[in-house]
Amino acid sequence: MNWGKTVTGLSAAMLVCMPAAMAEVAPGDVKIEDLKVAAAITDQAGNPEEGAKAFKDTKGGNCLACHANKAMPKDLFQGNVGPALDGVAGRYEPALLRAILVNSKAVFGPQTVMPGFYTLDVGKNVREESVGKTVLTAQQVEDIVAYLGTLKE
Amino acid sequence: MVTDGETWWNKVDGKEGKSCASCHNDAATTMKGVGARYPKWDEASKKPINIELQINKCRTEQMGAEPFEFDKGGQIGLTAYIKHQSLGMPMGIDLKAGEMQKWWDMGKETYYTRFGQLNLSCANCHEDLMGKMIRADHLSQGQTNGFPTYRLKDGNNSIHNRFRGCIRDTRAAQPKAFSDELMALEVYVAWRGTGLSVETPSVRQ
Ligand code: HEC
Ligand code: HEC
Ligand code: HEC
Repeated sequence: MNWGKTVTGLSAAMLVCMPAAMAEVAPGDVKIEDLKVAAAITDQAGNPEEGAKAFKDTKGGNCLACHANKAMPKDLFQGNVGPALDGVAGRYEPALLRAILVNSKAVFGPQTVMPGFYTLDVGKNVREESVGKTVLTAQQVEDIVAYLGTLKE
Repeated sequence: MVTDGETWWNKVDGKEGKSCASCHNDAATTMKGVGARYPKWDEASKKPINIELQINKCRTEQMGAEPFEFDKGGQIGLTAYIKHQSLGMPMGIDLKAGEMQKWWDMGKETYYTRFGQLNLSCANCHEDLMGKMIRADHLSQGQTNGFPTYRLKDGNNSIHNRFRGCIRDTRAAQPKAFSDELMALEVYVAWRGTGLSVETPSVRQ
């Protein structure tokens, strides 16, 4: 882990890596500062409906495996590994939610069991088809951040 | 699967014209307590051996028969049949024999290593999260005393198949059945179950 190092020199790096034409920030270039990723990592705004799909997709976020969500009452079998996400929009601002999604370990610490969804800081022996890839795309992260923003109590 | 195992126990196979029963007679006496002590040190191969591999050893060396491929033929049935003869007996493996301790160390290392794109270790799910619900599954301690198990959704399930499934779920590459890595894990996980009663065949969701 070298978040400490990446945080220094942050703004310079952001300027170089994110020229206006670029559609998304590469996983290695996303900066988590003060437990936040302040700016969106794609230039297309997050779509909450797409976010809801990626949220429940077992091959995508599979968030329901670990989190309950009352807004999805039709989905049986919601896990309780992490806290229920009901009303999460009232507890966390988008920049913090984005940081949690990008790399939960940078927010909760290295011990957390929540996977990082847009990071290459992963476990050993990653299966071949996933090497060098993130669990979610940058757009899916933005879509889920937008979806989480709808979870108000 | 136990009845299937009993059929295989009495079935003549291979060039020598023998069945398991030809040499081991009544499993209820000769195999009593055996399953509870595996995996154990095998001096000949200088590695730990589990029930599945011991069965293959007898098939090739004693019966002149082909070894069973992983999870095929009578492998699960016979393993269940042999373990079932230790029903209710406490699990206890011998780590002092040969280099068992070294394999235990290797297995422990693997148990606490985070694997795959989802970055999870065996211990994350079966120690830290034990008792929680992950989707529809109630996370257990991940013990092997009930194996082979019978899963309501897809039938018989061997230990190495279960290990491979858990590793796949972290989106890591799956080691081969009976590879050194999974044998070491079997040794370590069996040790974690020391004192638990053998419950083969357990039924699972
Ligand atoms: C393997 C289990 C697991 C998965 C899968 C998972 N999480 Fe988490 N999540 C956790 C745990 C555990 C925590 C609590 C943080 C900690 O202490 O480690 C958490 C915390 C959170 C929090 C903070 C909640 C709060 O109230 O403090 C949010 C938001 C969150 N997760 C969102 C998600 C989303 C969105 C997904 C799917 C893209 C997801 N999680 C997938 C385990 C998981
Ligand atoms: C020709 C005689 C013979 C046949 C047939 C035979 N075995 Fe064996 N078996 C042995 C001998 C000798 C040993 C001890 C030496 C060894 O480990 O190979 C043994 C050991 C075993 C053990 C280990 C016992 C312990 O205390 O650790 C098991 C389990 C076993 N056999 C199962 C089987 C099964 C199942 C079959 C049928 C597929 C079978 N055997 C067929 C001779 C035989
Ligand atoms: C993402 C979480 C997760 C990880 C990581 C994981 N498992 Fe599991 N494991 C499960 C679930 C879910 C089950 C089925 C419910 C149960 O028995 O806990 C299970 C079941 C098992 C069982 C069967 C238990 C029984 O009584 O039927 C064993 C043995 C096991 N796991 C071993 C392991 C080993 C060894 C590892 C590390 C290589 C591992 N698991 C990693 C989630 C996990």
